[in-house]
Amino acid sequence: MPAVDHVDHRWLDADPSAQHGSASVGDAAGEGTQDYVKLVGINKAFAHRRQNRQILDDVSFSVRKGEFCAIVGASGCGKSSILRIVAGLLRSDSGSVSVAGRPITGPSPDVGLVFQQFNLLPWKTVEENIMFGLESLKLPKDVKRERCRHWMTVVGLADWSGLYPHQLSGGMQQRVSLARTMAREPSLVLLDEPFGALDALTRRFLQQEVARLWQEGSRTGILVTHDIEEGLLLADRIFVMSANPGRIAATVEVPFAHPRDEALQATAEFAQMKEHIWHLLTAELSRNSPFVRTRNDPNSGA
Amino acid sequence: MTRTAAPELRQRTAVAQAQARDRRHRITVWSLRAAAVLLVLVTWEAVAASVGENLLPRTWSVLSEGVPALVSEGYAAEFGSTLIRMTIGFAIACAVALPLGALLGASRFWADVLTPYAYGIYMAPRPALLPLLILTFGAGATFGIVMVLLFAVFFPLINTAKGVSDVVNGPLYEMSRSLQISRLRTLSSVLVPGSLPYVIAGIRLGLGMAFNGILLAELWTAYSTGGLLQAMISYHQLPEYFAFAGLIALTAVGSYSLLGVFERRLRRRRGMAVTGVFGEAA
Amino acid sequence: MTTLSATSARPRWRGWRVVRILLAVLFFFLVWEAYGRTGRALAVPPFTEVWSELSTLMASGDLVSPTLGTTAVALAGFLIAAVLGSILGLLIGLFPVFREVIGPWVSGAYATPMTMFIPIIGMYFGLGIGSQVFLVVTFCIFSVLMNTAEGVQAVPAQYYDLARSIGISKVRRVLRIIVPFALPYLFVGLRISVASAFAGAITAELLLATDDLGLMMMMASGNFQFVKLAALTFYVAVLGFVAVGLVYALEKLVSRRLHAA
Repeated sequence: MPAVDHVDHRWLDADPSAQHGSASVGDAAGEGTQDYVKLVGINKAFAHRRQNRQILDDVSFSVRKGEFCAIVGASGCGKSSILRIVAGLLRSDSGSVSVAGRPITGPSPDVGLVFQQFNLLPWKTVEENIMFGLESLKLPKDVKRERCRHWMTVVGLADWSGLYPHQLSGGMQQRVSLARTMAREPSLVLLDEPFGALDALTRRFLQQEVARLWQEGSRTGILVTHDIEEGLLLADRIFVMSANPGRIAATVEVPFAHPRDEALQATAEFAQMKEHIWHLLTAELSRNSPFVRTRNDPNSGA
Repeated sequence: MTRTAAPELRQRTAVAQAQARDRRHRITVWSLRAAAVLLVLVTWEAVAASVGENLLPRTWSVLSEGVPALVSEGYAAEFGSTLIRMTIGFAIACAVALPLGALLGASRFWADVLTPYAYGIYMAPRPALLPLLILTFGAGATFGIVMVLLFAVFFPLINTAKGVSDVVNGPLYEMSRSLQISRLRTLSSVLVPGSLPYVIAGIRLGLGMAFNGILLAELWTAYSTGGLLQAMISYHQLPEYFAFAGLIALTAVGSYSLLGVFERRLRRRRGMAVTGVFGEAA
Repeated sequence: MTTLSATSARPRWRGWRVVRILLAVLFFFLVWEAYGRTGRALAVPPFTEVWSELSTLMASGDLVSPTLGTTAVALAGFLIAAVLGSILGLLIGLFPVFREVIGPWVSGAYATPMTMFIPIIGMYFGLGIGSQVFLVVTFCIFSVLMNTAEGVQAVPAQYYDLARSIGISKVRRVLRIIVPFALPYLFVGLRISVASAFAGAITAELLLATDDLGLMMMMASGNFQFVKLAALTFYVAVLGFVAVGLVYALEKLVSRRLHAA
């Protein structure tokens, strides 16, 4: 019997902090170090032409300190909005979001955001762009320079520090963007589909680099992606998101040990996990769309 | 030829061929350009020879009689004073256009309110204001400055608006916020450099209009340079006229090109498209 | 410093934009009226006075002939510039070598202030309609030329590949692919050009061969008939706007028929 018909619920997480459906206020206080990042009951709607579009509906989840979580979902499900809310760039209509127990009111040096579109200043060199990222930090000049140099070396761009963004490939630009964020040494790093604008090969390289980076530090990370494999490669836990409106449909623990390499992707367990998440995703999608049907769909009379 | 050498040789040949093609293309273009210049000169001489000095002076006359007269008769100096007036008017135009343009680009509200005025000024036949404005401002220097202001204000305004709008509505602003850059710093280190290529483009185009404005005003009032140009025609001083026109053209084209070079440099550094309609600076 | 963007969830009515634009225009007339009433500038009478003077002029029929004359000059120059400009623009857009050779000349001509040639245009073309039309052409031709060239060059390269693979002839290629693409650009150029046409016509009538509306304005100016002059100036401005509006309407018509075809 093919593994795909057998949905293994062993992977389904029973973590009480993963809510879906009703908001719960009970968890808001006193989980302490357990929940480094906590979202409770986040709602967000945008006005589009004459209608209201509910982007996020009652989203709640938590991330533990040092954990790397991924939010996986199709485009347009609002996952980028979640990240912007955590980053303090967007205010939710209701609900609360806190990092290290403190509520988010705006951008802070503890939270770094890596964009999909690199967003480097085109008239500044690589080095100047990273220094620009450090501007708002009250640090002595030499400390800043040292950090800049360190992170350029880590991402492998030390030899290209004097180049301008348009002279760099997409992958290199994204590395600069990463270095810029990391140089601020935030304790929480948010990555918004960071490899979405890159080709598949470059994507693989950078995924490995990000995985490597995470092992060397004690940072907390939240990644947003539509690539299930990427989530499985990097994350400890995956939140599966549905769209229209955006909701956390399920939470999945990823049990694989770090470091995760190509050999892992060849294993049956990896494929099973991938199928499982795919099922969760498509189940949600089919609930909202008449065009998507899965083999395990109860309506198909299997 | 060993097998290991063959690919290298092929590569070198291919590169050499490409270079040769490029060189041939450039030689073609430059020789055609030279031919065009020659054609113009030859046609000029031919026409001048046939219609006579009274209608079209020969190039030699222009050079030998006209050009020295620019200095000896003080025409160039008079043009200098015209340039000063033009610069004053243009400076005022930019002082008005750049902040307003930034406002227009940043705010949808102000864009709606001010755009009718901007396009109103551009689309309305501005020379029609000549008889009216002369009654208000007299026939002297102020009149010229006002005309320059009216002519030159549009392009800096509209181009600044585009540049600012691109930055403000683009991703750089949000990125800057995420890095906790203060409002003021964002203005100076993101907005200004981001919109600079467009601002320079607007200034370049506006300068072209400024030249038109000052000359129109001075022709209407027969003042300074305008008056001289008209007098030269009345007295059939054609070599002087063409020399003077040449000076004006050189100044205008020169400043236009200089700004174009600057703009091209800005664009190149930002990785923006550099060539315009004619394959030169936009 | 709050850095959160609080986007409202309430849908916004698009109509506010139109209202704002209309209010801005209305504001202009209100300020005009107010400033005129103060009497500080003799040359700026209140709008209501200007309007009644203009109505009188229009009723008297004195404006008909001059308007036709000025419009004829503007139209003639505009059409010539449109034809010449679009052909040249097409050539410049299509043939790179042509572009690189002629380009600097056109660019240079665009940068030089054509107004300085007004005295010599008068000398060469006489003080009649010929010189007026010529001046209008020099005012109009650049925007048509440059916008057409830009439009032709804006055709994405894939369309040329498509044309070649389908195997249609070069001429049909031009018609079927380039024209629809370049047409919006051409019309932008035409809209600017028609406004310049009126500017050029008035300039010619003031500085070259004074007749029609230009002559009327000069006479009003000479006789210190401030209200009449303001009325005429306003009238000419309106003519310019109407002309631009007509070109805009023409563009809508042509593009609709083109899309229907």
